[in-house]
Amino acid sequence: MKSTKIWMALILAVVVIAGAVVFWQQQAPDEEGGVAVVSVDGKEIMRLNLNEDGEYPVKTDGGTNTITVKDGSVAVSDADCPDQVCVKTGAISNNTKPIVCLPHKLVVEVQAASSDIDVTAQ
Amino acid sequence: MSTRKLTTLSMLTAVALGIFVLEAQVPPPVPIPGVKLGLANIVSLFTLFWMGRREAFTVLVLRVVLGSMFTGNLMTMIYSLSGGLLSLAVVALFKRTFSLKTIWLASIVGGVFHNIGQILCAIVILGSAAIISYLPILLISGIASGLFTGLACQYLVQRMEKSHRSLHFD
Repeated sequence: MKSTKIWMALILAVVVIAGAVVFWQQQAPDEEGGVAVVSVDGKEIMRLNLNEDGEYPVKTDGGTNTITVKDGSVAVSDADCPDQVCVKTGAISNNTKPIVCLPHKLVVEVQAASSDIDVTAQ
Repeated sequence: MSTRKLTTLSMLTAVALGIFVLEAQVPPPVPIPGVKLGLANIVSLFTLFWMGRREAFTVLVLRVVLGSMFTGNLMTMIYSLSGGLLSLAVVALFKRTFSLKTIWLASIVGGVFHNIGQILCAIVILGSAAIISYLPILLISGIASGLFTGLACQYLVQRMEKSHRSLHFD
């Protein structure tokens, strides 16, 4: 049937394009001297210099996430959310993928450092 | 509504609810927000092809609302509804382009739009567009889980065709 072929072609196109993007995301290099931006509920709450190791507990309405900066990358090392997806995501060191904790509405993303911003925890 | 129809819809809702609650107990298979098999969608899809659009929407909404009460999570309800409704709306809209032999295809389309709906919902809830980076991997996982649930649904329909001659398809 004609419509079956159209659907199959569309799905194949999605697989190829999405696959290529995922591959590109995996290959992306580290963001040298970047900053980790932590947001809760859409509001930025801290910026962390990726060159300075440290641990920062973040309290949200849903619970606590511990953000750890180590060796130029950032991770959620501990969280009391039910699914632990943010912890299992592991460390990120570039802006291709953020760390997301859906239950706590927390997002950690890496951005290139801009010179006019003093990168310290607020 | 006839008693027979009411009973059938209640039973389908109960089955979907059971699958939904069971699957909610299983920890996420991969550390990617939003990835799961979505086994309860077998029932939504089955209801759509075996009974019709209205019935499928009824079973879906009942399952999600009751399921979120049982799992005790309002967020589950918001994410499941946004994904489920968009997915069912798209598949129902294009229902004529699928046949009982291409339910697996309909299910893949549904899986893709389910995850698109959820990511849009997450962007609104988190107030951050950053998670759009998960769209490519979620499209692929939607295709994979859609294929799986679609094949399951297709086997079910084939069995039902053998035992029920009154299978109707509008």
